[in-house]
Parts: sequence; C-alpha cells; structure tokens
Amino acid sequence: MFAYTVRRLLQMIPLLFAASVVIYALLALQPGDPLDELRRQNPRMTAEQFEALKRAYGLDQPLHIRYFKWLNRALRGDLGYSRTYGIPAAEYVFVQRLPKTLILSGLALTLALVVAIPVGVFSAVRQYSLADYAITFLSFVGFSMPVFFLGILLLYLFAIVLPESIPGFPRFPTGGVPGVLWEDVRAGAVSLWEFLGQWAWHLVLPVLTLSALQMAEWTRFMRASLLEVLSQDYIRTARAKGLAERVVLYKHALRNALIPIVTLVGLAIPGVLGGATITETIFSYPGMGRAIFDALVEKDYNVAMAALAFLALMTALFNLLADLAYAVVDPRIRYS
Amino acid sequence: MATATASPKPRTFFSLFWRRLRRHKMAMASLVVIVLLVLMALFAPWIAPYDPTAQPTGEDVGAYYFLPPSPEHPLGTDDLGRDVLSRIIYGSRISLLVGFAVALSSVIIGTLMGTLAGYYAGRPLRFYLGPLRREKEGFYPWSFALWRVFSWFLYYGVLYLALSIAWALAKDGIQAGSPGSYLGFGLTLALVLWAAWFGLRGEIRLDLDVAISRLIDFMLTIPTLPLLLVLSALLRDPEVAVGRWAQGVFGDAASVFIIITILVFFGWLGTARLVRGSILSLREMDYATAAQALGATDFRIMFRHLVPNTMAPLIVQATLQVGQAILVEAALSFLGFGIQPPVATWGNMLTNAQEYIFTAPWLALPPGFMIFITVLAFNYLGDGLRDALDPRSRL
Amino acid sequence: MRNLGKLAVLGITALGLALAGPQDNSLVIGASQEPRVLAGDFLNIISNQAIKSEIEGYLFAPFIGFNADSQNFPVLATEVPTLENGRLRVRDIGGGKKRLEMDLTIRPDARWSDGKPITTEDVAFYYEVGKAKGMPVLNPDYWERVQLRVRDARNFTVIFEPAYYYDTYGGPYGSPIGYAPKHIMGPEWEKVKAAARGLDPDKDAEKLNELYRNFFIKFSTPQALNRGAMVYSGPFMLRRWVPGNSVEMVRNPNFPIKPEGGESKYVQKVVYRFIQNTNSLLVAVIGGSIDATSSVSLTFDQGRSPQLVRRAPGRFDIWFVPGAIWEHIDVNKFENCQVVKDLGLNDKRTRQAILHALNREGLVKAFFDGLQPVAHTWIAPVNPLFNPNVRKYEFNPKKAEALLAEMGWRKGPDGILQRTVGGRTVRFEIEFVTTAGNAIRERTQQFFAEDLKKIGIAVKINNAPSAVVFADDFTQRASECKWTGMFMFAWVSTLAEDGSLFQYKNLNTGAIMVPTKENNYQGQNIGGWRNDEFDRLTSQAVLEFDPERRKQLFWRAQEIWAEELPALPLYFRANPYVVRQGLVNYVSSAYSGGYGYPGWNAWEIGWASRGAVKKWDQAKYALSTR
Repeated sequence: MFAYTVRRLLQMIPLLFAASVVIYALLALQPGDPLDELRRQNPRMTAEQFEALKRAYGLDQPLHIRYFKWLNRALRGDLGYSRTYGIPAAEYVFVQRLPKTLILSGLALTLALVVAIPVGVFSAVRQYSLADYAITFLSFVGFSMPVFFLGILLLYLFAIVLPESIPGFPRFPTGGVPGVLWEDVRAGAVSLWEFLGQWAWHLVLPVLTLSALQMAEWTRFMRASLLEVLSQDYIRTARAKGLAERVVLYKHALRNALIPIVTLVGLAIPGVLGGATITETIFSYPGMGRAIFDALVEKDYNVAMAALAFLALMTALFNLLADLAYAVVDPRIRYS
Repeated sequence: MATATASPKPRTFFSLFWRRLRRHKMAMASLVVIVLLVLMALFAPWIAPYDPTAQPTGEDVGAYYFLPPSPEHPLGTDDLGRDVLSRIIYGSRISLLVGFAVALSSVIIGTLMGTLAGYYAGRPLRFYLGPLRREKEGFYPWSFALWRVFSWFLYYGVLYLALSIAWALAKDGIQAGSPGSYLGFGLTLALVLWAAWFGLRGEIRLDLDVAISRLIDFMLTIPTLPLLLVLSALLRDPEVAVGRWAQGVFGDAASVFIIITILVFFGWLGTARLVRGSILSLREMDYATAAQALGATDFRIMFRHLVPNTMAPLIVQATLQVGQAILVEAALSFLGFGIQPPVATWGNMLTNAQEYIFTAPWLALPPGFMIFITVLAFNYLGDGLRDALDPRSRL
Repeated sequence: MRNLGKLAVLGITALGLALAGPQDNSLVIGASQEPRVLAGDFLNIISNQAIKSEIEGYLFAPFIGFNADSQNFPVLATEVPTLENGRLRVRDIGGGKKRLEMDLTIRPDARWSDGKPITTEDVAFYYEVGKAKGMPVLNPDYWERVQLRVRDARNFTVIFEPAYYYDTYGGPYGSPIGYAPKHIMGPEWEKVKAAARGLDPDKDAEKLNELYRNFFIKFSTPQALNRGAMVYSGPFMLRRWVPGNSVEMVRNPNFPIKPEGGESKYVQKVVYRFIQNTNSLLVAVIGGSIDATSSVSLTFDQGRSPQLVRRAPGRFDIWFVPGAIWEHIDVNKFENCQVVKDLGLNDKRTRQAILHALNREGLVKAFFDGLQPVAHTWIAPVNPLFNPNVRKYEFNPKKAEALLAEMGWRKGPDGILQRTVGGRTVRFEIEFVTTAGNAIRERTQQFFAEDLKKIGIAVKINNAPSAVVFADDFTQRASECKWTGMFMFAWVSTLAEDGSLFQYKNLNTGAIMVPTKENNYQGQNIGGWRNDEFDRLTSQAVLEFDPERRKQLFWRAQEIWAEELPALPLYFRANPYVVRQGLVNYVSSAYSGGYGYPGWNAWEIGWASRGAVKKWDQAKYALSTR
C-alpha cells in the first residue's frame, strides 16, 4: 500500500510536468497575441515601437523559451504577474478568486451531499412507493436540466417576476458579491451577522442552481448503491438474526453503501476548485471558473497557467486520494 | 386436432430483456418519446411547416420579428422572423446527430481502450529490441525475425528524431542562458545515451494497462475548457488541413463535425474506465481460461468472449452519454464555442433566446424544453435498461 | 431557516437603501464591466478600458475639458488656448510640417484632495514618467512628438512637433496633457529610477516593464486605494472599492469649480455598481436600484426591450446617443487572391452592386427602429468633418443586378450568378466573416445573406470568436487570402480623424498603412485599397489648423471614398442610456469628455428635487425611444 502510494506520487511528477507543457502549449497556440488589440487601436504606432512593446512583455521569444522561463520561476514559487490586473497572478488566483469559489462550490457540494444522502436512503428504503417515484422523477429533472437554463429561469423568477406579482416578496439580488468588505467587519462598521447575512442572501440563487445537478445525481447514486447493498446476503442474514430494521440499515447497510459515494465526492472536489464557469457567468460571481475563462480569452498567460496548473495538481492528487480511500474502506481491494 | 401441449416459446435473452423492460413504465414512455423524436428528425422536411432559415420579405420585415405564438406560427417567430417550430424540428436533427455520434464513437473507442487495458493489466507485453538479445519469446512468434529488424529501425529512427528536437531546444536554451535549460540539456543527453544503450540489448515491457490508465488520468487533468477553445479555433482555421477538409466536406456543418470530435475526445474516458473494471473481473472467468487453453488468440478472447459480457453497463452508459452530449453541446454554444448559425440546434437557439430574454421571453422555452425532455428521456431509458439488464433487480 | 426573517429584513433594507437616490443625494450608476485598476495608472499602462476612463472622469479633472457640444472648455486651466488669445501658436517648420505651441495656466485654486496645490511640478512629473526609457506606453507616437516647457509654478507650454490638428482637442484624446501627484508618487518613482539605472531598454525590456508596472500598481489596486494611497483632483474622491461589487466616490471639497447654487444642491455621492451579466444589470435597472447606466452597460436591444420600455414612463428616460462606432463590411481587394479576381471584388462596380443589394434601410428599421441610422461613409454624422453630399447607395436590387451583369455575371442553373474567368466557370460564392457570439452581428449577417441570395450571390458564413477573428494573423493577412470576401466588424470613428483607416501611404510619416508581408502586417487598411488622391488629401488635412480648409479637404476625400467604396458602410451605433427622471446634467454626446462618456461635468450632476439647476439637455444630443 505504502509502496503503491509512493509509486503513484512519483508518477505524478512527470504527469504534472507533461500536463503543464500541454497547457502552456495550448495557451500559446491559441490564435492571436495579447498585443494585437493594442496595435489595432493605435494605428500610428510604428513597427519599432511595436517590437519594443513585444520585448517589454517577453512575447518576442519562442514558445519553449517562454515555457522554461515560466517553469524556472514557478518552481521557485514566483508565478508571475497578471497582465490584465497588474497584481501577482498567485495573489489574484489564490487570494481573490479561490476563496470565493470555495464558498460557492463548496456550499453547493455540501448542500448536494446533505440533501442527497438522506433523500437517497429514504428513496431506497421506500422503493416503488409513490414517494420514491416522485423523488426519482425530480432527480431526473435535476440532471436533465441544462444549468444555464435553470440559472436564467431562477434569476428571472426570483428577481423580477415574483417580487412584482407578490407584494412583500423579497427581491433577490441579481448576482455578484455583497458590498461589504471584511475590513468593514474588522473595523466594527458592520456586524458579523450582517456580513454573513448579506453573503448568504447573495449566494442563495447561485448555490441552488449549481447544486441541483449534483444533488440529483447523488440522490440516484445513493439510492442505487443502497439498493445494491440491501440485496446482499449479509443483510438478509442480519434480518434473519432478528435485528431491528433500523440497526440493519444504519449499522450494516449504510456504511457499505457510502463507500462509492466517498469516491464520487473525492472525484468531485477538483471540480469544486475549478469553479463553475456557467453559473458564475449568469450570476456575475467573481470565482475561479470565470477567472480561468477570462484569462484564456484575454491570453493572460500567468493567471491561466497558475490556475490550470493548480487544478491539474489537485485533480491528480484527489484521484490518488480517491483510489486510496477506496482501498482503505473496502478491504477486498488490494494494490500491489 | 390441436394437441394440448404447445411447444414452449423460445426464451431468448432478448425476449426476456424486453419483457422486463416493458414493466418499467417510465422507460417505456421514454422509448416512445425517443422514437417520436427520431421520426421527427428523419421526416423533418415533411413535417416542418416552413423552411427553418426562411426570413420574411417585403417592406416591413420587422413586423414579423418576435411574434408570439399564433395559428400561423405555433411557437412564434425568432429575431429574424423565422418560424420557431420549424427550427425546433430541424434542430432535432443536429442535436440527435451530435448525441448519437458522440455516444457511439465514445463507446467504441472507450471499449477498445478499456478492453486492452483490462485484459493486459498485470500482463505486460514484451517487445525485444536490437540484435543483442537472445530470447525466443515474442509477440508474434511467426514473424519474429521481421519484427526484430523492423523494431530496430523504428527504435533508432525515433531516437534520431528525439535527438534532433532535443538539440534544437537545447541550442536555444543555452543561448537564452537560463539555468533550467542547462539542466534540461544535461538530462536530455543522459536520457539519449541510456536509450541508445538500451536499444542494443533491451526489452520493452509495455504494460498497456498502465499506459492507458495513465493516459486517462493525464487527459482528466488537462482542463477541458482551454482545450476546447484551442481545438475549436484550430479546427476552424482554414490553414490547418483538418479545418480545410472539414469545410470542404461539410460546408456549413463543419462546426458540427468539430463539436463531435471535441466531445468524443473527452467522452471515451468514462467508458474506458468502466470497461476496464469489467474486463478485469471477467478475464478470470472459467470460460476465458478455457478459451485460452483451446488456443484462442488474445484478440479473439477479448472481443468474442469478454466484451459481449460487458454490454449491459455499456449500453446503459451509451444511452446516458447521448443525453450528456446534447447538454454539453448546448453549454458550448452558451459560451460562444458551439455550432454556428445558420445551422439551427437547440443549443444555439437557447443561447440566442437568452440574448433576447427581455424582448421575447417565450423564445427560451421551446429549445430549453426540448433539450430537457430529450435528455430526460435518455436518462430514464438508460435507467430502465440498467434495471432490465441487472439480474438482481426485481423487475 | 431561522435566517429567513433576518434575510428578509436585510433584503428590504437593501432595497430601501437602493431607492435612496434623491433622498440622500446620491447617484448609483450601473456598469457591466469593472475596471481592473484605477487612478494610479495614469498612463494606462496596465489597462486602458473604457470604464476606467469613464470613472476617472469623476476622480480627475483635465486642464481643458471637452463638453457635449464638442467644444473645448477650461476646467483646471484658466482659459482655453486659442489663436485669438495668443496661447495657441502654429508655425511652419518646413517640409509641410507644423509646430504647435500651447500655453496653459493652472488655476490658482486648483488643489488635490489633500489640500496641496496642483502645480507645474505635477505636469513635469507626468511627462518625466511618460518619457522614461522603455515605458510601454500605448501611444508612443504622441510621446515622441510632445515636449514640455515649464515657465513657473502655474504656467507651462506644451510643444508638438510635428503637430496635427487634433492636438488642440481637450480631454483624454490621443494627445492628452496630463499631470500626476508628484508629492504622492514621486518618492516611489525615485526608487524606480534608481533600480532602472543600469537597465537597457532593449535587452532588459521585460525587467523594466515589470518595474514600471509594479510602480503603477502601488497606487491603483482596490486595496491600495481603499487605504488612501492616492489623491484626486476631480469633483469626487474615491472612498471605497469593493472588488466585484462597487466603487463609491464622495464629493471633493477641494475641487475649484462650484456648480450653480452651491455644491450641496448636487449629488454628494456617486456609486458605480458592477454587474457583468447584462441581463442581470437590466433586471437591476428595472428593479429600480440603478439611477443611471454607464457608457459600458446595456446592449442596444436591451435598451429597447418591452420589459424596460413598459416600466419606463414616469420613472426613467431611455436615451439613444448616436455614437461614433462605425459598423461596416470590409472587402478583400488584394488582386493576388484568386477569389478576389474571380468575384471581381477589386472592381468598384462589384462592391457598389453588393451595397445596392443590401437592404440597409430595412435592417435599420427592423432591428433598430431607425435609432442607428445608415452610414454612407466612414465619418459619423456627429463629426464636424461629416459630408452629407456624397454618393449614396439606396436599396435597389435591380441596379445591383445591372451592375453585375455589366461585369459578365449571368444567373446559373442553381440560381447563383456565374461567369467565365480565364476559361473557367466561376460561381459567385463569397465568404462572410464576423465575430461569433455577437448576436446583433450574426443576426445582421443572416439578414444580409438573404438579401444577397435574392440577387444570386451565395454567402459562405465563416464566423469565429473575436479573439480568433481579431488576431493579427487573421485580420491583417488579407493579402495572403486568410479571409477572401467580406469581413464585418466595427471601427471607432474618433474626432482625431486622420483618414488612416483607408490610406495607402501616410505622406507625413511615410508609413504604409496597408498590411502586407513587406511592412510586417502593419496598418488598418486591411482590405487593401489604394487611392493616391485620397492619401494626398488626408495627409494634408491633418496638418491643417484652419477648420474650414480642413473640412474642404475631408469633404473631397469622402466624395472619393463614396465613389470608390473600398468598404461597405452599414450604420453608426448608438449607445443606450437609462436615466432616472429628475436627474439633471447626466448628459453624454458622441464625443463628450473625449470618448462619449457622461461624467465630463460631474460637479454639476444632481437631482432637480434637491435644487440642482439643469444646464444640459440630453434630448439635444440623443434620440429617445418614445
């Protein structure tokens, strides 16, 4: 087991290296230069002046040189500066965007889990009942609905239609983040409750939109997993032994049924870190998904590389963790 | 004259399966919906009341834009006065085509890769290189000599190529003067020397499982978004050969081909993992061992015996993937990288409708609803298939 | 669920606060883009977004402003330099070139928000930074032509050599006369100079670039500005910037110009709310939490959407301000492309025929209710150089067919025109490129494709996202047939018009404006048109400081252009502005503030109910939707 872990960790190094090469190449291969826009806007710039600008941004050197330079600095911890924002890319990605994404996607994931597990269990226990059919139907609706359709619908409904038709209905915010800074709370201008309250208010719609899909999927998965476990022989034995149904369920069945869920959650975490581009677009939420997309479109290399390399690292790491967790929880699995 | 005993009806796998499926009501309803959709797509030119790209003509064309539903236009008109119902009907062609094409291709490629990975897990293939190795075992014992000579040329050819690339990179790097490139150069040199020695008397143990699994892991770590953007741009560029070929063959619909390619690029990963898992357990089965004892080739064992037994979850996976593909196509259109007009797909109709949601909010409902219903139907069908094919479920 | 009550309260209080407006004498402006940096980046090195310039219009005042009537007026200077008052002097320096000298005197009561007076030291500082070696300025041509001569603490002279007529326009145009707080940024700049001493602008360009960017960053990030790192010279000061949410500005008591009736009668607080998703922004506008929209906010269609228009009467006005953004279709005229020769795109008759076939009037009426009028040349009707008497191409398919028939085109069996060129039969199938994802452009494209199909021209649509389409190796490579037919996009038609969009050669600088391999693909004349008389007229016009003579030269140039038709003019965009009723002096015109922003007169924006006096009427510069 230990040997396996070490081997996988070592294998991760060339994997990440290769991934960073590919990502950098992809970024650079995109047509267009970040300076093209500038040149178009100012036709009076001469060729030498343009060359000088190119030199200033290091864009006059060939691809592999630029990559190695980036790698040199990155390994020393310096991820460069964001060309569009002027601040260090690391600060932009990890201080400004990542926490906000963790809040949004983390809440969505937690909500999905908190709802999916009990509902899935309920659905499995009451299989073929009316409640089961209803829950199944809602789950299917949940993961058949395109995310952006749902988002726009919710936005339209809760921010325009309902507040207008129902008097006194609170008007939900149309997205973004609240106007209170953490500094305000520290300075005492705004109470902690109000700060949290504002954030909660702004997050309701995006979190609902984002968690719908996962909630539906995991409910189904939980149900299927528990059903499979319940049909096993050892459950029949436990029942035959005369154990109360509740004990059978929670002590024996549920723990085994949760095993594959663990893997699923583990594999979903890198997705959390990567942000949800579409939801963030609809709700104007400044998270990682939007940051990556904007950086790609504007060719802000440093930000894109910092974010994507981080995501690659997290994905590889959590894949490994998920595999290990599976092995730990299920003693039948053996890695050599 | 009729005898009382009638011969029992043959109980084939398919009839059993069909009877079980019939009991899953939602799946049957979904099947009906899907069949209707396919029919709608096939007979679109006959069903659609108008040409989906026909714009109104005359003096005041603006009067025909954004019409709400009416008897002439049951679903209204869009931002250019085109009939929404006709566009929905024609749109089903593209959406279903994309869905089926992606699912089918992903399943085929995924099965192939997954089978190879699962079957050869822990049993690496041995390739012997170079003239200085004496073993007799080989992959193809009857073309042994030929293989050795060929492998020798192949190996050194690749080595030469790698060498020239490394030298070109190193040269630039040394000029740039960064310490990292000196290191890189040194490492490359060491690697090359080792590889040369290896080629003379080495053996390559190609563990297909490790290779394919690591490839899957690698592709999962590459973020999809930049790859999509870049591929999308590259394949559209008329300079790139693929782009030109796509334009030539498909014309307007080149972007459909591009989207399908991109989706398949990532679509086969899940299937491969699934199949690998199945094959891993199936290859220990007695009938596989028996086949091997009888002298069947690996290829025959894999594809004649093992793969058919993995069909059940595969079919389910494929069905679900159709729905997935349709959703992703719509999402891509939302971000601006989907299928281009004038080709009408539900995805780009929805994106367009979003643009005008305050002018004509009803425009978003038809395509959104169609995507939703189609994906729902495929998901339910997949679920029904899964229940029908699983011997332990209570249907 | 316990939080529901609290949430409801917060929601309602937020709602209440949002409707403040006249109650607390504040103004909430909605924008769909957030600036990345503000204030300290006075050379626009880090970012040159429009929203940044717009917001900085509130924070910093120019010496000479540019009002809604496109006139210079003094802000921080005592008077506008003109030929009459002797502050403006133009001299010939031979070779057709001119030298321009402008004397400016800073108002004695001009102060920074911390009370320190604004002096020529601040101007000198600005020019010192701008001219620093290796500074990656976006307008290097300006910095090479301009020189500063300081007379004393309040008087200075700016010298342009060689000078162009647009150097006399105030505001932040291509020739901005700027200043920056030396007492705040000076010490840091000295450190940068010390660090840059040993660096060579060619070899160490990247290091220099980083040094300079770090310098500007210290005074422009939200964190820095919230800590009070900068001082301001405009009618407002920045109080708080919550990234992702808003920028809050409060009145600057040190601003010398007081509006009529005293500044307490005008807005005391201006808040810019950032909502990136324009649909959400529209929701906020409809909901009443936004008092006015910025120049970077709603799309044209949203401005006309029934949802908005229905709720407008009695609450807000919707204005459409004609702008100077020119939507057009450029045509590849390079004869070395086989397609161009086959289709005859290098012959003006083909282009004229195509323009006759496009129902621009119908499009403008159907899509825009006539609010974005048809263009006939590249110069906007709001531009003083506009010539209304050029040849016009009305929608006339018969004329189009006749012109094409003249060139040998006959309808083929499939309804598409055909002719023989060099022994081969050629179909009239033309490529049509525009930016994918831009709804209006794609819609326009479909509309025109129908028009062209009617006269037998087949259109092959080839869109790509703007990042791809505006990349140099696509846009600038028409000579290599990267795009072979029509390319629809927009240029900004500024007041600093110099004809460079369509010149072959700029006779003043000698630069070739048509991008080919030889000149490293430089230039905006991407379709490749050459007309020597046009070059002569426009090159001379920029040196002409007499407005009448300049106008004559440009008029003739426009006549030639309309006859030869190097590109197909479509329409000039109009910007929608939603303004709450009762808000006065929030007015913009095509060139107000230089680029058409509101806020060029920020000190006199106010609520009529609080006593603000209306001086500017938006109706004069815009069309309303009703």
